[in-house]
Amino acid sequence: MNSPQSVVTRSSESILATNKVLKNTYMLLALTLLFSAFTAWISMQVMPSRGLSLGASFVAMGLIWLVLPRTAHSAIGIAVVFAITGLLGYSLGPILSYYLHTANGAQIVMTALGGTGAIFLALSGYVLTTKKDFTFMGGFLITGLLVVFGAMLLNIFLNIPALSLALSAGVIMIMSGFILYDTSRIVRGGETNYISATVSLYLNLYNIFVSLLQILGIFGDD
Amino acid sequence: MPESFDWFKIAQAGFVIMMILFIWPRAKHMWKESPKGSSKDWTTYAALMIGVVLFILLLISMVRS
Repeated sequence: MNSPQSVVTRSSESILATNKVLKNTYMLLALTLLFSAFTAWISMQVMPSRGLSLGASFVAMGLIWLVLPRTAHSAIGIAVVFAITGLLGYSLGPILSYYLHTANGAQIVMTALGGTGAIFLALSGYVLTTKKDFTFMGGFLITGLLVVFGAMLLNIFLNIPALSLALSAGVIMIMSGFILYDTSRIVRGGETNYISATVSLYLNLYNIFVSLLQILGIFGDD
Repeated sequence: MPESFDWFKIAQAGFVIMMILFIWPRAKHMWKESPKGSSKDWTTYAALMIGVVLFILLLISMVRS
């Protein structure tokens, strides 16, 4: 049986490890967001075709599914994270360029950017301060995500604007839930790898930003 | 060009199908392993989501004004 002292020592070691994962995750997240903004800027200068933009997303998803699980525990994993976020940033170029060329496009892009940051800080901050456990939402969130993907698949061919708007709103709700879920997993020691934690949080932010941009673009357009 | 536009839609659909196929095993794991939340937990979640919705409405009113 463990002595009270060993329990206390293990507990403080566990807290230290969690804080280290949290610190590394936020640091890598900040760096990848900056890198992503840089590749998005390059993309806006180069103006790739829609096909190339979609291709960049395909490659990024391929890296997430096939390469990241094999490299997340090594230093190469960091290069893979930068490749993923760089490609996803690059794929944003055409959409950002489109909005920035509209009448109040700069305001829409900046509002979407600020709004995404505020949602992330508020939800992540809530979990960090209250230490509430949101891992119970896993099944609910993944079901919601699959429903959204199914509806997205239909809407590619049906092209219903109202459904597109509803999907953007749905994505923001689900990704906000995933911010609570992912932060909760890091805080409670369920996620111990800062590389995969960074990618999860980055994808939440990326999807909120794109969906918010779409919603604000629709409502901000006279 | 309508033909290339259709190919783009097919590529988009392929992308979404790929994501569904990738997420499916993780979804099965999460359905099995996720702990059950209490009604208090769900109320907290709902309150936070209402906050997010109100915030988005605020952002919409900002870009419309």
